[in-house]
Amino acid sequence: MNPQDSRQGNVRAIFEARLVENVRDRRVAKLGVFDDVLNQIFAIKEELKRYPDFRVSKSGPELFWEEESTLILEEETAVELGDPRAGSLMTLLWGDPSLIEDGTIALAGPDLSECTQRKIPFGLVILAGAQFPDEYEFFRNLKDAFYAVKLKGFMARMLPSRNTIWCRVSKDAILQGFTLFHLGNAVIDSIKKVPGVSAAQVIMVTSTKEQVEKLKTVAEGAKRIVDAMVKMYSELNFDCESCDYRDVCETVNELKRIRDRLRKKVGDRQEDRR
Amino acid sequence: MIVAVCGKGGVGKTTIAAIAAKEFSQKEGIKALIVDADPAGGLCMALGITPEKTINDVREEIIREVKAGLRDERDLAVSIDYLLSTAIHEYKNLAILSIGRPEDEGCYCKVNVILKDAIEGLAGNFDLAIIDAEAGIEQVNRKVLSPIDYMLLITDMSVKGLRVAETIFTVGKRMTAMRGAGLVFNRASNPIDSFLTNIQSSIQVLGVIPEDETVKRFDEEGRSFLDIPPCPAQKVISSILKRIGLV
Ligand SMILES: Nc1ncnc2c1ncn2[C@@H]1O[C@H](COP(=O)(O)OP(=O)(O)OP(=O)(O)O)[C@@H](O)[C@H]1O
Ligand SMILES: [Mg+2]
Repeated sequence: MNPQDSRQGNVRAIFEARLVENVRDRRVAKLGVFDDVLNQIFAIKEELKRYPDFRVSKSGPELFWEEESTLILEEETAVELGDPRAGSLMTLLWGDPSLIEDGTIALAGPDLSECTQRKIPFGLVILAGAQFPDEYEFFRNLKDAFYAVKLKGFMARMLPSRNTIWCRVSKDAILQGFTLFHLGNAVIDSIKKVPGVSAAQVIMVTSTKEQVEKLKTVAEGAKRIVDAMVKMYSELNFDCESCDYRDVCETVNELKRIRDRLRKKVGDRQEDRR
Repeated sequence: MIVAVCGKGGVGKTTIAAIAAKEFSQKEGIKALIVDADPAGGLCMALGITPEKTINDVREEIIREVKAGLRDERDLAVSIDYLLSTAIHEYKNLAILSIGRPEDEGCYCKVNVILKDAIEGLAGNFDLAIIDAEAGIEQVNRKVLSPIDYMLLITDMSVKGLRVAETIFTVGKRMTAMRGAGLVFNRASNPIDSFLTNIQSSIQVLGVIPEDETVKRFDEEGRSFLDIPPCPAQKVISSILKRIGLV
C-alpha cells in the first residue's frame, strides 16, 4: 500500500465514522457538501430554541412585502442590522430537501419593532433543499436569487468574502409593519424559484453578538468548502499536492466526488481533442 | 440629475459646491449625493468633514479582495456596493463621497469599470448629485465626468477664467453626456464689475456671485459651509440652483 492509499483509507475511516454519527442523528439522509455544516447549524438552532425570544413562522402570502430597491440614509433609518462591530453573518447553504424544514422562518432575538438599540447584531442563514446536476451553476443561481431580493424600506449590503450582511430598515417600513419575517419570506420565495430547489428555510439571529459569531464560525467552514468547489470549477487544476484546499477536500467526501467528475470531464475533453 | 462644478483653479468651485450642499440639506424630501472629486479633498474640508475612506481606498480594498480570490462578477458587484457604502459620510439628507487619489491607469481596469458603474448606480438612487471637479480639463478628458447631465461652469472676473470655462464647455460637450451648461461669474466687486459689460460668451449666463465677506470669513476661520448663514453669495447660488431646476 503506498502512502496515498493509506491516507485515503484513513479518510474513509473518519468519513464512515461520521456517517454512522449522522445516521444516528437521523437528519442526514443523503450526502452533500454541507452535511456536516448543516448538522452544526441545526445544533445551534436547537440551542437557540431554548431562549424565550425564539420564534418560528411559516412563509406564505400573508408575509408578502412590496418589492422596491431603496436607498436608506441614516436619518431615515430605524434599525441597522449587522454593522460589523455589532456582529454580522450571512450564509447560503444547501442540502438534500429532506433535511430542510421547508417554509420555516426562525428568529432568535428581537424583531425590528422590538429593538431597543439602533444597531443590532444580525445573522442570516439561508438553507435550500435541492437536487441539481451541477453544484457550481446551482450555487451561482442561488446567490443571484438572494442578491435579487429588494424590499421597500429595506436596504442590504453584502460582503461575500467575509460572510457579512449589513442592512438598514427605514422608520416608515417599520411603521407600515415590516418585520424580519417579511424578509425571511421574500428570501424563501426568491430562492425557491431557482431550478432544483424544492425546500427553503431561513434562520435569523438578532439576540447577541456571541450567537452570531457562533454561526459565523460554522459559516466560515462552509465558505472554505465553497471556495474549494469554485476553485475546482474555475481552474480545472487538479494538482492536489499544491492546492490550498486539500484539507477541505479530504474531509468533505462530496467534494472529492465533484473533483473526480470534473477530472473525468476534462480527461474526456482532452481525449476528444486527440 | 448629476451636475458637475467645473472651472479654472481657484475660481470658487468648491465654495459654490459647498454652499449648494448646504442648500440641498435644507430641502426636505430630497436626497443629494455630494462628490468631492478633487484629490486634495477641498469640498470635504469646506463642509467640515474628514472622510474616513475615499473611493480610492475602496478601490484598493476591492483589488485586495480580487487578489484574495474574489472572481465571481456578481460577488464583485455586491462587494463593491458594500465597500462603497462604507465610504459614504452622511449629514442629514446628504451623502458625501470623496474620490481621493485618481485611479492608476491600466491595471485592474475591470475593477475601475465596475466601480464606476457602482458609483453611477449609486447616484441614480439620489434625487440629485453634485460633483466638485478638479480644476481644469483633466477629469473631463479622462471621462471621469462622462455621466453628468449638466455642467456648472465657474469663472472669476478674468478673461483667463472665462477662456478656461469655455474650453471645458467645448470638451465637455464631446466627452460627457451633458444636456446643458451654464456660466457663473464669481467674486464680482460691487456694484457691477466693469468686466461684465465687455464680455461675450457662447454659454448661457446664470448669475453673478459677489465677493462676499461671510464667505471670506468662513473660509479664513475654517468653518463648515453647512453652517453658513444667509448672505449675498448664498442668495445668488440659491437662485441659480432654482433656475437650473436643482431645488
Ligand atoms: N464669492 C466669494 N467671496 C469671497 N471669497 C470667495 C468667493 N468665492 C470664493 N472665494 C474664495 O476664493 C478662494 C478659492 O475658492 P475655492 O477654493 O472655492 O476655489 P476652487 O475653484 O475650488 O479652487 P481649486 O481649483 O483650488 O479647487 C477661497 O479662499 C474662497 O474662500
Ligand atoms: Mg476646489
